[in-house]
Amino acid sequence: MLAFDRLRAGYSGIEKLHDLSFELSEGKLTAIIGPNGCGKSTLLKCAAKLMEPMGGAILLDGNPLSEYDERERARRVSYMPQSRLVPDTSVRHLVSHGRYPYMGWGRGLNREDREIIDEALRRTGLASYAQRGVRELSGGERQRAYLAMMLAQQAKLMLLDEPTTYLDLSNQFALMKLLRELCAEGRGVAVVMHDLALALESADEVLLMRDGALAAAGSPEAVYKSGAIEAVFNVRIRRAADGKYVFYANE
Amino acid sequence: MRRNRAIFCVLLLTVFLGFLASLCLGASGLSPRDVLGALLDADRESPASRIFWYVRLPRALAAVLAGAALSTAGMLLQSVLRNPLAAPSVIGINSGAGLCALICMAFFPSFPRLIPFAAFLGACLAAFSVYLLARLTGASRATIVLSGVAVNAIFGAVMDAIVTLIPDAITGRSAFSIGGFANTTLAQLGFAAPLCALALLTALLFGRELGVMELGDDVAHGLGLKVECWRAIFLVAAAMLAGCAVSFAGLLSFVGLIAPHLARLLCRREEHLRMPIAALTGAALCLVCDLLARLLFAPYELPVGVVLSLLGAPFFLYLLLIRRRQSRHDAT
Repeated sequence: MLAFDRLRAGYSGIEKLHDLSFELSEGKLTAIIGPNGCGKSTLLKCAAKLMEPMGGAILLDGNPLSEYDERERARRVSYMPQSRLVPDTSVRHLVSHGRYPYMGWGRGLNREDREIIDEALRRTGLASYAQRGVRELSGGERQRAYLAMMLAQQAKLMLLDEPTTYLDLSNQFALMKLLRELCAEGRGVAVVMHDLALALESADEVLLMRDGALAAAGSPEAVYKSGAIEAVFNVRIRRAADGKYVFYANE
Repeated sequence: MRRNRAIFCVLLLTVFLGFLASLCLGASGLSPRDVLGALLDADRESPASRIFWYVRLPRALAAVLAGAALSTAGMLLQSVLRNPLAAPSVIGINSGAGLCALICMAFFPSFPRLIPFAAFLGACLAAFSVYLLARLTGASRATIVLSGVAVNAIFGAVMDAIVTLIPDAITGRSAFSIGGFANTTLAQLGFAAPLCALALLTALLFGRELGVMELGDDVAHGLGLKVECWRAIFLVAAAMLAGCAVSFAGLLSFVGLIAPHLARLLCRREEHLRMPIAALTGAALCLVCDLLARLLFAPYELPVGVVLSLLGAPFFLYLLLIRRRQSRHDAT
């Protein structure tokens, strides 16, 4: 669906990503993990066409990403950045912005749009908050409101940069459950995560990055067994009998 | 929803009543019957007709147009630059417009039609200078305001130099720098109104884009908005509005700062109503301040810019004081 071929990218002429090649597929939840500053967010920005690559290619459904018009790209790939502003608007109006790529010249919402917005609010548990102001919500609820906006965008590929920030444990699990449901419906989801255990337990595929390059990629099992996580993060991992991963700091 | 619509109706009524009061009240009082008579008097010969057509009507229209234009410009700037302190007078747009209008008056005195366009060009020059300066240096709130201070100082100095070297460039120099509607003519309004209407229409029609832009560049881009293109469109619209207002009302301060904030306070959570409410708030504010300016010390008149500054400067300080508290809520 979204393929990276020897992608090179960076800021102010300094290369941050070096020759990355992999593909984000439909129906799969891909966790992107790695230490701070390894290029995870840069990678998502390239995938969302926020940055122009310095080299290599990004192909969306076989065509260069650069050839897509902004709104056409937004209908196929949605993106939630790490930090977001809090607008002075209602939750429902915020979610309605998710329909922007589909709006005509009148910029109005039709019946189908309204149904999609209602469904997005329901799936994120915000139906009863629809008329409340976004500024009145807690950090976790605001996160869900932005996620509802992404759902309303109905893109086949969703890119989320650290969506579990500000969420308590139960909300983190609820979010991952929702993302898994979306994958089961055929959407591709790529998530930058810092919680390694949650990443290994929830994802179909794991991309482990170090210094702008891929250190390992594949199923959580394969990445775990490769020993790359231990090398990159300088930790020890054990898998308990119930399948949960436990991390220990190296002495 | 209902509350915001009620606010919209109350504001509309306030503007209507303020407009009527502006036509009737002043050094020489006109009754509503005089106003109606003057409106139907084709010859415009009677004293009441002359007062109506050459003093009161241009003045009331100027207050409505300048208030709506400056308030909408302030709302656009605050959204596009994501800075609550951004207003045409604060970040130097009014000064840019004033400078180019003054150059036009000094060097092309026989082409008054050019003044709104010159003011628009000056406003654009200032808006994009501030935006580029802020972008180059990090676009923080303080940077934008400080860039505006620098731009204001430069344009102000050049204006002073022109007025000193060419004293005939402008009649009523202080009236121009303080701002007011007392000397506005219908012809001046006629030149500025089409540009103003075009920019107001842009602001009202593309509220969705403005709302998406308020989510931040990355989110807006993710939603498919061509961020830089729309930022340029809104900056040009804000410059057009401020430039037109300056061309007939001079360097009015604080309308573009106070009115958008009042509109945000009045209209919570509903972005699509915010822009029309801001325009009406600006118009109502200018009408009320103009009435105060002419009635408080009657038969003497204060320039409306003085009244607006007396209200606006404390409001600006209030915004500076609450800025820290607001910034904590700006990002999740």
